[in-house]
Amino acid sequence: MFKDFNKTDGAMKHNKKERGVALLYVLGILSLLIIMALAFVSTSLFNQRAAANTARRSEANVLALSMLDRVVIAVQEFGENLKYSHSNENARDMFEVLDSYYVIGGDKKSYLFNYYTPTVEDQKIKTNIRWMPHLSQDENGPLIVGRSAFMIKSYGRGMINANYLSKTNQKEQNQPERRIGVDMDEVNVEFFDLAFFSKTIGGVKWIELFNQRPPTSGGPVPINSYGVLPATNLADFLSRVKVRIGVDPSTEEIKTINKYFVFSGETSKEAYWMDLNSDGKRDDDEWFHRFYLPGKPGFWEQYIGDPDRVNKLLLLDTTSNGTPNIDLLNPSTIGGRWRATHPNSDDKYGRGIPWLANFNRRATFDHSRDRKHQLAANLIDYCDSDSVPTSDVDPDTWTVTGTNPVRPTYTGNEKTPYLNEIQTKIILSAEMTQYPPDSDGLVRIRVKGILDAALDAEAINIYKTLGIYPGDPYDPLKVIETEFRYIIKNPKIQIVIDEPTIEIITVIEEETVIINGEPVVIKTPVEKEIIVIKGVPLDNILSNDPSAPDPTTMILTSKTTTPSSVGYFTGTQIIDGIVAIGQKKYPSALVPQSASFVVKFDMEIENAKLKFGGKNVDYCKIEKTRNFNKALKVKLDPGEAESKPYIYTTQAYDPRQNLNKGDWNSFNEVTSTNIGLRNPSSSPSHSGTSRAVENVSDPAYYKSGSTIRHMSTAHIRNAPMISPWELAFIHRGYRWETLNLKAYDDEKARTFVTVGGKKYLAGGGSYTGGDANILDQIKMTSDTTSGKKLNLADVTDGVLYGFLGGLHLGCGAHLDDTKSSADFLELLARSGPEASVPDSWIGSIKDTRHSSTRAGLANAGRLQEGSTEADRTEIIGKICNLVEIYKDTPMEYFDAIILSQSINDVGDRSLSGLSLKKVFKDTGSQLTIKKDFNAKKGQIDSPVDNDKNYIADEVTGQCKLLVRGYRDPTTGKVQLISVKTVE
Amino acid sequence: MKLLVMLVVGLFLTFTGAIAQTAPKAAVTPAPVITKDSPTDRPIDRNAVDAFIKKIQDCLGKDLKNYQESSYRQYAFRAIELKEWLNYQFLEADSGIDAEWFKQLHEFVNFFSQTKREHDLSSMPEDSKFRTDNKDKFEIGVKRFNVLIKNPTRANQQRVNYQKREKEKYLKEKNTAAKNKAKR
Repeated sequence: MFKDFNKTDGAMKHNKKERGVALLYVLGILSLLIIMALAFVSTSLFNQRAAANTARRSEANVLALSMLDRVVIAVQEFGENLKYSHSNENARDMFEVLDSYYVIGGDKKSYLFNYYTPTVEDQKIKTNIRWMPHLSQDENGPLIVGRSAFMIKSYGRGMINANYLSKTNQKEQNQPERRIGVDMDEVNVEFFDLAFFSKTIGGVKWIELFNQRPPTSGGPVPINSYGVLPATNLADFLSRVKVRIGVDPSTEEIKTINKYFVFSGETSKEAYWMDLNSDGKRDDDEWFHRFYLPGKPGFWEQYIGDPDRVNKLLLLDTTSNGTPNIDLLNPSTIGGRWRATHPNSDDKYGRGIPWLANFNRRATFDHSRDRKHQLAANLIDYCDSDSVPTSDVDPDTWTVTGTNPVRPTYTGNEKTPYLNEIQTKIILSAEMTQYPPDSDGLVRIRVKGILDAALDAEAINIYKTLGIYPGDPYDPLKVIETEFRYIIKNPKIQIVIDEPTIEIITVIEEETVIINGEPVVIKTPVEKEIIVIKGVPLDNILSNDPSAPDPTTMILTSKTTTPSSVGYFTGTQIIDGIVAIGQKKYPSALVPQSASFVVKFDMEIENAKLKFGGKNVDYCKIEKTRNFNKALKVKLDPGEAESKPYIYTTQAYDPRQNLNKGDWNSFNEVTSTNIGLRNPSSSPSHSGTSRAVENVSDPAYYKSGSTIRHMSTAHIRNAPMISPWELAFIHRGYRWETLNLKAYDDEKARTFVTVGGKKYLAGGGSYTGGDANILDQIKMTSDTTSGKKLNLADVTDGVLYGFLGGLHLGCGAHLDDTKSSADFLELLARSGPEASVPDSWIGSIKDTRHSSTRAGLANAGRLQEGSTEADRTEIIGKICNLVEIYKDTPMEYFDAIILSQSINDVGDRSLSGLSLKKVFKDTGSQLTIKKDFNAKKGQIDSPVDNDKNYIADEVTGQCKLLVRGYRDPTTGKVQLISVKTVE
Repeated sequence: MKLLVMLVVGLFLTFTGAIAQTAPKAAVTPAPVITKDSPTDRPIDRNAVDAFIKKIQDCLGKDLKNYQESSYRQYAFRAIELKEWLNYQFLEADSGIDAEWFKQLHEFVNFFSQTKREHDLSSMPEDSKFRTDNKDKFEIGVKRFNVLIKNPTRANQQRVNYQKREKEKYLKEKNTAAKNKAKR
C-alpha cells in the first residue's frame, strides 16, 4: 500500500532540475517554525518577565501591607501618647541608614518624605529612621525577602475642631461671633478661607457649619437637618457633605478641609495641672479644677462686710491666717482634686486661685499677706456689684483721727474717685510801720506778721463714670469729700527786728612818716563807733495757735471749667490766719530798717480718707512729715507789705494704689501748685519693664468732644468678668502695675510648692516675672470640660492665621463699663480696629509650643512687634483661653507613610561571604560606579567601602503607601480613612 | 460711799495713766484790750480816717483792675490796723465819727481780706465758677463800701464831749506821770 519511491514509473519520472523543492519547502516551513518558535519564546520570556515583575511588585505591595498591619497594631496599642514614630534601630537589627532616600539598584532614588514640609520632627525622623528587614527562611538559614520603613505622624491636635465653631443650634456662616476669649465658637470659619467656605454648589452652600451639640444628658447625637455637623470624624463629615450636595467632595476640597479642621466630639479639660510626682507627665490624678471666673450666680456677692471675704472667695484660706489651708489633694474636702466623680458639686467651680493665694511680694505693704489681700480685693471689687471697697475693716468705721485711728490694711479698688494729692500752701506776710517820734524823740516801729495756710486736696477720677450713683455730677450722692489729719507741731513764731546798735571797736590806723629820709609806718589804735545790725526777737503777740481743724474736711469739686464728673476734683480748706505783732521804740538815729517774720514748725499729713456719696471709699496712710523753717524779710522803706507763698505737697504715684506711705512721694516743697494737674511722677506712659505702660500720659479720664484720654486698664465693671482679658485690668497693688498677662513662668506653672504641709502651685511675685500663669488657673465655663481648644503644640501656620483672623485690638481705650454686659462685650470684642496678622505673630506663637501650659502663650515675645503693650495683653487675654499646649494628648488622627521593597538576597552563607563586584550606573551623571562586596545571605550587604548608598542585594520591587487613619482615643480602635499607593 | 469709791477709782486710773485728759487747745486769741493811747501815736482824726480810706480805695481800685494778680495782704493788714483803732477808747473823740461806723468799716475791710484770701489761696482754676463768684462778691462789697464811706456817721456829740474830757484827763495824768518819772 506504500508507494515505492525507488521505482521508475511515471510518477517518479520528474526532471532532475525539480529535485530540492521539498527541501525548500522544508526549509521554508522550518524557518517559519523557527520564527514562530522564536516569537513564542520571546512572548514567553516577556510574559515570564512581566509575571516576575508583577510578582515582585506584588511582593513589595504585600510587604507594605504587612507593614501597615504592624503600624496599625502599634497605633492601637501604643498610640495614646504618640505624636510621631518611625521604624527604628531598636526594633530589629541589621538596619541601614535610610536618610530620607535610598538607591534602588543603583539608579533610582526613593523618597520617603517628599509629601511633607519638613518640620523639626520630620528632621528628627530623617536622622533616625531605619529599614526593617522582612526575613524568610530556607533550609540553610534566614533569607532577606524585603525591607520596609515607615513613619507615623499624628495630626489634628494643632487643628480646629470644626464641631465647636458655631454656637449651639446656630449656623457658623450666619453668626460672626465676637472674640473675647471664652469659647471656640468665637473662631470664625471665614478667616480660614472665605471663598472656599462660602462656595455654593447648585445653589446650595456646600458646607453649612451648623452645630447641634449632643445633649448634655447623653444619648444619641441628633443628626440635624443640614446633615453636616456634628461629625465624629472626617469620613463622617464627608459623607454628610455628600448627602447635602449629592456628590463626593473633590480631592482638593478634602485637602483644604484637612488643612484646617478635624471632626470629633473631643473636649478639653478645664483643669490645671500640678506635677505632683515631678515626672513631667500629666497623670490623671494631677488635675485640679480651674476657678470659674464669672462665678456661679451670687458668687461675687458673698461675704460682703466679712473681714475675711478675700480669703473665703479666692485665697484658699479658711482660717484667715495668711496662708492657704484648703487641701486640694484630699478628695473629701471642698475644692479637692479634679475628679468628675467628686461628690461635691461645688468642686467644678474651682476653689480659689493659687496664683493669688501664694502671691509673695510685699511692695509698699507691711506684709506680703496684705498685698495679696489687696489683689484679691481688687479682683472681687471689679466683679461684685456694689461700690463698697472690700477691706479687712468695714469702710463705714474708718477714722483718720484719734489715738488709735481705725485703719484698713487693704482696700479694694471700686469705681470711685481716689485721693491723689494733698498740698499745704503757707503764706507769710509782713509789714513794717514807723510812727512819728513821740515827745521823747523816740520812734515806734511796729512789725506785723501774718501766717496763713491753706490745705488743698485732690481726688482723681480715672473712670468714665463714677460708681452706681445716678444723676448729674452735682447729685448729692456724688459729693466727693475728703477728711484728713494735718498736724502742726512745735511752732515757733517770731518777729525779729534788725536792730542797729552802736558798738565801739578799736581799729589800727596806719600812717607813714618820713624819718631820716625813710618812710616809716606808724600804727595807732583808735576807738571808733560803728553801727552793728543784730537780729533781735521782739516780744510779740500771737492771735492764736497755728493749728488746723482735726480732721480737716473739705468738699472737692470738679477742677474743670465746665462742671463734669471726669478728671480732677479739688478743694481748699483755709486755716485761720495767725497774726503776730511786735513793736519797739528807737531813737530816730537808730530806727531799724528791716525785720523778719520767722516761722518754724513741724507738719505732718497723717491719715486721709475719701468719701463719695457720703460713704468712705478710699483710705490713705500717708504719714508724711516735713519741717517748715522760713523767714520773710520786710523793709521799712517803702513801707509796702511783703508776702511769699510756700507750697508743700505729697502725691500718690498711682491713684489706684494709694493706701500706704510708700505709695506717696515725699512731702516736698514745690514752686507752684500742682493741685488739679497730673502729678509729675504719675504718668502711665512711662517706659520701663516693671510697669503696665499705657498710651496716655495722664491717669485721669478726660473727654473733650470726641477725644477721649483714658487708660486702657482703668475699668471696674461691677459685674462678673466676661473675658479673661479683663484680668489685665486688675491692679496689682503697686504703682503702675496691673496683672501682667505678658509674661509667664514655666517652672511655676507645673511645679508644686508646699505650704503648711499642703501642695499648691506657686503664686505671683515680681511684675517682670509676670502673672500669665493665672490664665492656667481660671476658666470661663462652669463645666469641667469645654469644646476642644486649639493645641499650640502642633499648630500649623495656616491654622494660626485663620485662628487669629478677625481679632480686634486697641479696644481698651473704648471700653465703657457703664454699658450692659451685651454692649460691653461688643466693645471688648470690636471697638478697636481689626488687626492684620503679621508673620511675626505666627512664628512667635509657635515658639511657645514647648511651654508646659497654655499660659506659655504669654511668652510669645514678638506679639509686641507692631503693637502696643496693651495690644499684646489684649491678644493674650482674647486667645489664651481658646488654646492649650498639650503635648501628651492621645493620638486621634494620624498619617503614615510606608515604604517597602522586595529584595533578592545576594550572597552565600560562607563566613567571608561571596566576593563579587557590582557595577552601578548613576542615571544623573551617567558615571559607572563599581563596588566590591562580600555578600552574605540573610543580610543587607553594604560594599567593602561601607558606602551606604549601595547594596549588593537586588531591590526587585517597591511599594509606597500613604495612609490616613483615625484612632478612637477611648477604645484605641483604629479606622483607616484612606490608603493610597503612590509608587 | 459711792462717791468715795468713784474718787478712789478715779485717782487710781489717773495715776496709772488710764485716764489721760487732753488739755484743751490753748486758744491764745487775746481778749480785746481797750487802750487809751492811740495805736498810731497820733490822734485818729478825720484826716487820718480819710487817709486810711484813701489807702483802701487805692487798693480796691488796683485790685478790681487785676483781680487775679493782686493780693489779699493789704486788706489783712488794714483790718488789723482797724481792729487796733476799734480798741482805742477815744476814737470817736478824735474823729467825730460814730464807732459803729468804724465797726462797719472794719467788717468791710475784713470782708475784702477774707474774700480775697479765699480767692488767693484757692486752687481752683482762674476761669472757674468759684473765682468768678468770688470776684462778683468782692465787687458787690466794693459798691456797698463806697456807699458807706460817702457819709460817715457822726458820733453822738455828748459821747464825743465825754470822751474828749476823759482823754484830756488821761493825757494830763500821763504827762504828770512822765514828768515824775523824769524827775526820779
